[in-house]
Amino acid sequence: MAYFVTVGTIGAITAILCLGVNISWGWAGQIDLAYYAYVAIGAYGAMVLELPKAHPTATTPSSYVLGLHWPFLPSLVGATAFGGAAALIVGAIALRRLRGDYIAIITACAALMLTSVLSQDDRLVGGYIGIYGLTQPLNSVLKLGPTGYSYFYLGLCLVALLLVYLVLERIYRSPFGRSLRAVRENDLAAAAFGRNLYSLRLRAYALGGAVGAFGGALFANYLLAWSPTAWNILEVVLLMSGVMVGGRANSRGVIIGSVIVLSIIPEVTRLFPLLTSNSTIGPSAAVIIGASGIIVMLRFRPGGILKERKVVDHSQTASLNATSPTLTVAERSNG
Amino acid sequence: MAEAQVPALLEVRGLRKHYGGVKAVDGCEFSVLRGELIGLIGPNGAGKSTVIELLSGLVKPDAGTVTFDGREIQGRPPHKIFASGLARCFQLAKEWPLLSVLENLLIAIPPDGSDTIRHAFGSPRRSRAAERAARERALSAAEQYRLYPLRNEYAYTLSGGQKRLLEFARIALAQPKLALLDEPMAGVNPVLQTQIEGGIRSLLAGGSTVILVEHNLGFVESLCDRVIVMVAGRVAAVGSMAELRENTVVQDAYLGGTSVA
Ligand SMILES: Nc1ncnc2c1ncn2[C@@H]1O[C@H](COP(=O)(O)OP(=O)(O)OP(=O)(O)O)[C@@H](O)[C@H]1O
Ligand SMILES: [Mg+2]
Repeated sequence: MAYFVTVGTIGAITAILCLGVNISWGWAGQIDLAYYAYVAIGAYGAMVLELPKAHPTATTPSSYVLGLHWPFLPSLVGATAFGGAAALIVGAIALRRLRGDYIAIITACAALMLTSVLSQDDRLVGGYIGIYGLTQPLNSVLKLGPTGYSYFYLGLCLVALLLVYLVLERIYRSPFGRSLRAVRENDLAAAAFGRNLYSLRLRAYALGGAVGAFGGALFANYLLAWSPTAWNILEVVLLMSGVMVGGRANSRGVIIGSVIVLSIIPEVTRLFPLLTSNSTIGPSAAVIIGASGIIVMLRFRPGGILKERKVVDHSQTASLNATSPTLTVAERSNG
Repeated sequence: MAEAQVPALLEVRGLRKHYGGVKAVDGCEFSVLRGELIGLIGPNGAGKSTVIELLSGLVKPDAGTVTFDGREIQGRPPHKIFASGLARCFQLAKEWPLLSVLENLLIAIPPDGSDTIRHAFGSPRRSRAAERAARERALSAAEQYRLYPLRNEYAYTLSGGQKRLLEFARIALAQPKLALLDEPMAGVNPVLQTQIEGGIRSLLAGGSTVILVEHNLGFVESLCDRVIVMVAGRVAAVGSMAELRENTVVQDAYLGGTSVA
């Protein structure tokens, strides 16, 4: 049971991270390879806000900035803001030119620079060792046992996922989301109809960074530690394949894709090594089977499991001027 | 006594855009008066569409000044030019394919700062009312241009002619001070051409000024008092259609008449 709680908790956090990737990639159509850096900023950010001042000793050699000893929830908000701010800075440079490949390279370089600074300078966030020593958030109040607490944190992450989903759905359908999708669909026409491409893309990019940092903060508070090796640029590619398998720009699809690609496939393939006595073949077979699963799914459903949904208007002709039409979102028929 | 001089809404001076060796626009000069419906004609490749690209800011001119509504706008970003009241349609329809027809129309209505992330929440009553009003305007435009039954379809599913209608409906919704129409009736059936003609007239009635690029000279003659003829990137003549028919330069370059020298 504890196994499923662990998989569920990490799965919920991963789904949040996929929803964040989907903003810049699915909604705005730009490849953001710096995304993992915002996850790391959220993780480190939450920790340096929550932890007390650093006192490097033999038992806790970690040294770090801030150490404000904030409670859990304000730290979560602060970490989210750090991620958004960092994305705003990187995006301000990367999004100046609107070419997709340019954006991908600039974001990758920015993230590599940032993470190497964080891992080399051990005064900022503990350098290579990273930070640890966090206590279970909110448990000083709840006073739950290990099992009870793991259920609590699972619930917390699921609620967070639901919250992120609802917030993003609302933004997707709002005039902002609509403008952003128009920019993705045809940027010149969007500019000709008064849309500031740079500003829209930058705001979407910062929103994505904030969601990534939020997920990272939840992750750090689950692991109670974070180090530079925890996340790298490959994770972004995995998150993007989750988004692609589920369906770009469809939040529900993104959650489904995240669960399949980043929870079910790794967990199931993890079992394969146990079926063989050869200790070298096992793990690589797991990777091969998992990766080919993704390729096969994309071969047969290149648009993902759920297509982007259409915003549908339900008003009647007769009531054209009488009542306000309502807009809902309908599943795009996939065929 | 000073002469009562009405300043032109649009004043184009020395406009130039070369693509490598191609002089797409080469010292183009003209002006457009407020409330006027002016035709812009010329042979294929004369530079008419390029002028529209330059005026709307999607392409930066190599040289020249564009004074619109008293301000120089050349080199300004397209969204600012749109905000100052200049809207254009595209010769090749540029719809937003994965947005519904209704959403395509809604984008054309200036957002007035309501398309921010913050406005997605808290829904201040004012912005919600604005969104509702916008939706009603978009729906009635859809009805006017026979797109209402298609309002919930993806724009990419529209036929070529329907895309032209959508293209024109977007301009009508933008209610610009100056509308640049690049062959809005090409590929539209005669009934709907009349519809668009009516649309152009109601743009004028609503206070807009219109530049109409059109190859059907019948339409140009019936709609426009004044017509600009472009040949090889510059203005060859300006006048009424009747005057232009007498103009030997225009005849040689465009009307195909064999002028008797
Ligand atoms: N982006 C571009 N790159 C290179 N050449 C271009 C570009 N745009 C236009 N041209 C060239 O500039 C010239 C003018 O083109 P433009 O589209 O303005 O003509 P037009 O008057 O609108 O013609 P038509 O009546 O066929 O629409 C053409 O020779 C064209 O090949
Ligand atoms: Mg043209």
